[in-house]
Amino acid sequence: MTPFDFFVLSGLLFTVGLFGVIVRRNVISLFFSLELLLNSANVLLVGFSKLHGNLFGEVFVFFVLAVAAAEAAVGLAIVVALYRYRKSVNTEDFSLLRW
Amino acid sequence: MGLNLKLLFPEFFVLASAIVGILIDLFLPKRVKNGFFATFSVFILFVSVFLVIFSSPFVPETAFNSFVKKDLLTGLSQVLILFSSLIAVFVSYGFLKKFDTDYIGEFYYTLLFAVFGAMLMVSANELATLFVSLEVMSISVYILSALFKKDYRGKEVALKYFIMGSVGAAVVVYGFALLYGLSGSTVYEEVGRAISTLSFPVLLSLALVISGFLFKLGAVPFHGWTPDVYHGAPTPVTLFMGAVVKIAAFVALLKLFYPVFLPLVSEWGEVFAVIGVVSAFAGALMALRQENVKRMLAYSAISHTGVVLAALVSLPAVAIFSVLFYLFAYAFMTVAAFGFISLLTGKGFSGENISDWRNLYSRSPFLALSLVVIFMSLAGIPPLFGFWAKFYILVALVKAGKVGVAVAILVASAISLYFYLRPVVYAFMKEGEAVLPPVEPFEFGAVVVTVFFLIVFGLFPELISQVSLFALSSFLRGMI
Repeated sequence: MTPFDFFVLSGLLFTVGLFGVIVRRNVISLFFSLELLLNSANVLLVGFSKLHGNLFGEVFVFFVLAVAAAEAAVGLAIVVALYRYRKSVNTEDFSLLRW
Repeated sequence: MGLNLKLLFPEFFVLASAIVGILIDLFLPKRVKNGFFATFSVFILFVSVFLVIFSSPFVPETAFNSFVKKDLLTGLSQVLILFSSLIAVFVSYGFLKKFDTDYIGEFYYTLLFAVFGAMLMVSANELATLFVSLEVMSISVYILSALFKKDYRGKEVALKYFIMGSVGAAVVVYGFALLYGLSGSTVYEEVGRAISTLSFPVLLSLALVISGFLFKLGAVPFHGWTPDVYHGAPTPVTLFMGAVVKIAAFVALLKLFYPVFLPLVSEWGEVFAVIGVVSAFAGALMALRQENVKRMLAYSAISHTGVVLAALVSLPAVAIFSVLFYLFAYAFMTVAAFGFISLLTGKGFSGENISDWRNLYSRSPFLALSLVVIFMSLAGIPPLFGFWAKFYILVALVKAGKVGVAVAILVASAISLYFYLRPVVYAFMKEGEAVLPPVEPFEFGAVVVTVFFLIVFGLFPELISQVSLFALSSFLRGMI
């Protein structure tokens, strides 16, 4: 594996995630895409860690994972709170504030 | 090198008190919570100010094997963060009396967690530390905006801010991963050693990190969330976002970009100048037709962010100085403006619209006069604090030979004068009846103190410029 291979794999994951964030209207799918975005960075970090032979990257991955978990917990709590008002998890229904 | 734990004592103090807050919250009855936790947070923040002042070293010191580095730039921005949070607590105390929530204890200790994140963010000297502290701060702010009862707006903006903030964080992390790949380390100095020319991977990581920071700062082209979030979040939370999150993000940006991307300073300076000028204009133009004052101030925040970003194109030392000075002024003005709005907000969010401020002068001359001070300072009218901030940035730009950028910012400020004058016109000249809820003494006190500072620092700007110069020299010492 060369650094370029890691980069291609993580770049693909990142693109898929970004595409999902832009296109998806369901909040749960949006969360999937956000996780994909963060995990694409993880792939890159682990790959480079192997390449450089030090552990900075792998430790970074643990932090990113922990943060991603905390983010998902808070995000889902917000979605549950919103679902009580609108009976929907579609982003188009959350549009009280605009312009 | 080494752990050097005592350097991080102020941060640990805030973190430990937030955790103690969680425990106390379990045992208190609801009716005493607001008073108790407000006193508790004020005490903690006040003590932390002194801890920061006495523990900030002039010669930069590192801790945790140089994962954290502290100098006077860090100390100064931490004092600013703590001061803004102190005002946020005072304003929250009044706001929580007017608006009901089941989560009073949670509100205050989440605020303390956010303060901890911001304090750590300005002292970070390593990519993972920066990322984690950034997220501690952001996640706390998402929670804070969603805590109020029967407040649909707050929850909607929490989701919007959450999605935009997470995308920003993910983009930043991807950029950091590339930087790690280029250098094999995550400590700023060592990353900086690996970056010298503008190759494709460097360009990509630079673009990603810049985009991530622009997400957090709310500058064009990633400013979409700012108006909604500023408008919909509870006013003390908006105050916190406007002041603390901006300060932390800007100082972290300075501390990241100058050591790491120093050889490319002219390239990214140009990028920030373009983004800054576009943001300054976009914010000013879109604020013109807003009826809600919070939304108007959100667009004005975009405009101010643009001005600060544009300053980064001038010579590094002068840029850091003028950015610091501007952040000082901006924090005081934001805190004063949102404190003022919170003071006037009554049941059902009345008092947030400009039309609710009709003839405020006849109801309360003092409040109307402080309104003039706050909004004229935001507009940058001499002799108020906001004027000097803009003045230093313009001087810095002209000295660096970027007269075009300076003129563009001047024009944007002239446009913004129109919407800053509108509330003043409504308060003094329009017929009608201002909606004025019963004045909460603590909110009132917070507004009076910040307005006082806006006038004093406007008359004696050298107080702040001296302090900023000290911070700058301390920071530069760490770069050599």
